[in-house]
Amino acid sequence: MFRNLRVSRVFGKMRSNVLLTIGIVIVAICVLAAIFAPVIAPDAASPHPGSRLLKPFENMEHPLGTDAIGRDILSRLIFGVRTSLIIGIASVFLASLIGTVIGILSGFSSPGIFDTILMRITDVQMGFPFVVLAMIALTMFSPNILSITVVLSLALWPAYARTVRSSVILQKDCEYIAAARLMGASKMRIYTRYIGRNLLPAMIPLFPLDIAGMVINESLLSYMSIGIKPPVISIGNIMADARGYIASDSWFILIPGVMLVVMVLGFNFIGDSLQTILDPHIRKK
Amino acid sequence: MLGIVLKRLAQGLLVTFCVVFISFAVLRSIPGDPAKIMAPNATVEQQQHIREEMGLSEPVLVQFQMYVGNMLHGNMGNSYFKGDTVVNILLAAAPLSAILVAFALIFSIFVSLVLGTVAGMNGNSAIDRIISSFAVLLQSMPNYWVGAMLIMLLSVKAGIFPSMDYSGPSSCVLPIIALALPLTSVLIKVVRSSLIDSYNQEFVKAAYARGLSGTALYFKYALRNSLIPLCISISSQLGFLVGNIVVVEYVFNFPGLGYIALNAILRRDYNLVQAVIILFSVFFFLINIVVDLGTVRLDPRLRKAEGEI
Amino acid sequence: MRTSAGTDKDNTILRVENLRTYFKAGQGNVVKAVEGVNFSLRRGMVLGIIGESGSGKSVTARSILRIIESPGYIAGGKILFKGEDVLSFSEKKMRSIRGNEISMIFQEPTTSLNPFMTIGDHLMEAYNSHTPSGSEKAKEEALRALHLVGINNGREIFRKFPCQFSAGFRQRIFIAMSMILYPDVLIADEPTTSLGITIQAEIIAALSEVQKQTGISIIIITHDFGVVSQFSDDIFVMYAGRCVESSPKKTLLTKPAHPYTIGLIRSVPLLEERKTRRVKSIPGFPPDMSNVPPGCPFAPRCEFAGSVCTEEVPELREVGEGHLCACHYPQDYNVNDDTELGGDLHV
Repeated sequence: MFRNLRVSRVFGKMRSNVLLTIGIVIVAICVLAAIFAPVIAPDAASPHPGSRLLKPFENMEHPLGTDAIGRDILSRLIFGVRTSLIIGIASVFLASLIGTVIGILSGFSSPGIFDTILMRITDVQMGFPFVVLAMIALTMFSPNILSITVVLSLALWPAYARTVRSSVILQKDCEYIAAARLMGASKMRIYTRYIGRNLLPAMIPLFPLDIAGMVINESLLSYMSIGIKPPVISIGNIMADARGYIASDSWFILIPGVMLVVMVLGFNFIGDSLQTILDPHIRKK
Repeated sequence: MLGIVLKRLAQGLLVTFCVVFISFAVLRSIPGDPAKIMAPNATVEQQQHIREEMGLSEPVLVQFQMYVGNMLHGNMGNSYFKGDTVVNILLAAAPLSAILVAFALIFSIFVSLVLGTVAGMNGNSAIDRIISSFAVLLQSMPNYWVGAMLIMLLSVKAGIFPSMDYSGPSSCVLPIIALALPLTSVLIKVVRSSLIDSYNQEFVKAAYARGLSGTALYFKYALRNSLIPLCISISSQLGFLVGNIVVVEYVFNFPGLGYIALNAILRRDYNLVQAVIILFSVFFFLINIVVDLGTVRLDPRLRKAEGEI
Repeated sequence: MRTSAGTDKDNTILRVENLRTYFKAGQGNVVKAVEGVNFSLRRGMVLGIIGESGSGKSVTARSILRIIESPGYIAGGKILFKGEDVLSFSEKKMRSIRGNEISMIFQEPTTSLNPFMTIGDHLMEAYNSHTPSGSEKAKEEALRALHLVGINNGREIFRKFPCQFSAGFRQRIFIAMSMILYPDVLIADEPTTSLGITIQAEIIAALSEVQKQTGISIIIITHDFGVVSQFSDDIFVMYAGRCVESSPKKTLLTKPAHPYTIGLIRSVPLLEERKTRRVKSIPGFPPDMSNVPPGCPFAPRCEFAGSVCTEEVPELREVGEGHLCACHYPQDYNVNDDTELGGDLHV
């Protein structure tokens, strides 16, 4: 029982590479679909009253079926992916930018009043359930792609600030930073070359993982009708449309959900494998 | 121990106070006349009454002072949509949400301990890979969709559980599962990896060299050592759990706090929104304090650092 | 059941014969961490195993208790404990040996005690895990074991946690725990390496007191000649997973025959003033264990090596009474005649 416990790291790494490839393929397909959405799915908005609630694979003109007013679901999903990706990527970018700047400032001023205040702010922010925060914010601003991006990054930045801050605090008293300082390295060089470079292995896997999380959160707000509003298409509001048909046409809510899960899995695969590959403790073996 | 409790309570109270104040200020600064938004069909006199009651003509700080003063006397205003006092509405809804959270926590901890142990003890075997993949899959599924799938499979198709609205304890089962699954997926990973870490610890190897049996090693050494990471990740996941109440209750039309909060926001029932936010943050910090103290209690090294032993 | 005739006649409690412990290294490669080790531990005596890090000392010790972890495995040989081969025991029987008849002390006292268990729980668990007999009896035995390692305020520390004590103190607690069932053999795997110099002396003193009082047989593993010269009866030198020389302490320290042992002894700095104060180090590095050259593994670093050394692995041969050496060209060397050392190595 005791003997086979050590995880064979070599094998773990091999598996990560397979998952990484799968993840990249999924994400690449999603990104291409999003970029070329108007070309490959021109017919997302026009209803076909004659063909309401067609089942998937029934009519090859609408391979994934049609919704309650006869719009092509595949086309709508492609536009939904486009909205998800724009909001997911933009919000993670914004959050990591704010979080990193604040984390570095906070880490270098720690211990001190500035650091304490910042950490209290992140406490408050993290103590606040994201959904409630989003609900309040979205009653103040009308929900659209920009405001949802801002709201999502508002909820996410404290996580980045904390990661960066703790990494900076851990590193700034390390011998090699002291050694670099003694050798006359400039402040800027220490920030970018030493601390920055050691931050990256921890940060890079967070991007795909958080994009996955933000894609889910956006679809959730849209599903609860406080997110993206028609006519802009989001996977969340496609599913909201399907909400009334769970009993009669259950495929209607199944298909967008599967689409969303596959896309999110793609990002999670990339993040998980990067975590394994970039972890220096594992890499050493 | 008392010292730590007081310190944490003071910190928690301060943060809760900030949350309350900020949300109060934000809600009051929403453009538009709250009296008109809250009671659009009321007469001019009634709206004037609402304004006076909420002190809307006063500066925000004075309004806040009034609000806190009233709150301490057990008065959190009225909900004009529900036609009842906010306190009564909350008293009816809070127990339902509390049941969901409590059982979801129990479910997650139990399932993750079982599956995490099976995966961790068989590191890198087929069963480990199945469980780990299952956890990643669960993590990738939005829980409102999981809720919808549960309704589809277990209530519409199989007819085992009621699907929507509240009609007795059996209505809680599906919401509890939907609420618990995302947390469970995170905790499975935590239990698995911390068990593997524990078994690589020197003191576990030393105990093995003393001839301890496998069960003793697991319960007294490996599992014991894994409880702390488990506690820490539960506390870091609580925010999501509380937020997910809103989602799950919406999916199941479950009349708990989250459902009330969502409807209150959509109808701009500010007194109710404010009260739910306060309740959420108080609850959140209370649980955090419990988890924090639990962590300290569990780890003698932390107790030493806190000067307790 | 005697598998080897005369095991007990010459008063041997533990004899290791041709032990081989390998580690799978992926792509079908095998690291031969221990390759054909032979030694015997005499009853009531202290055997010192000395060698550089990576020479296979710890793996040898862990093989005796069969606690080698995957991907490591015991590839062959015999480990005769009281005449029986422990490699043939079931896991259940093995568990009743561990901690009960053979116990082990580890290198790092700060990590080898469970941080969540009190000192008392540790000791009582160690007692009850092999002889279940209530907490009263266990507590009594625990206090006796603590007393044995010179801890007389046992009752006061009983409910305290490991983190409340210094590393040296924790090591003494660990020794008490290992001794609580009065095992026949105690294996001490670098018990002093991570400790400060004064604490090292304290731990060695405690071990030697334990040995005097109980007459237990001890294997002490170290890379420190100071430790073995103070505290051992026989010495056994390992290099690259092999036994290179073994003999009673006095012979080995004064008349080492293997060039590697000679090199080791000449590289020990002494405090006393010498005619020549130069410390001579052995040139080169130990071999890469996944790719040990053919022949004698020490040959590339050896000043006496001939052509046979790079072709043929030398057998362990008797070069004096009770003095075994695995070398094609055993040296006739005497520390006291070594003018460069100054001839005042006190043994």
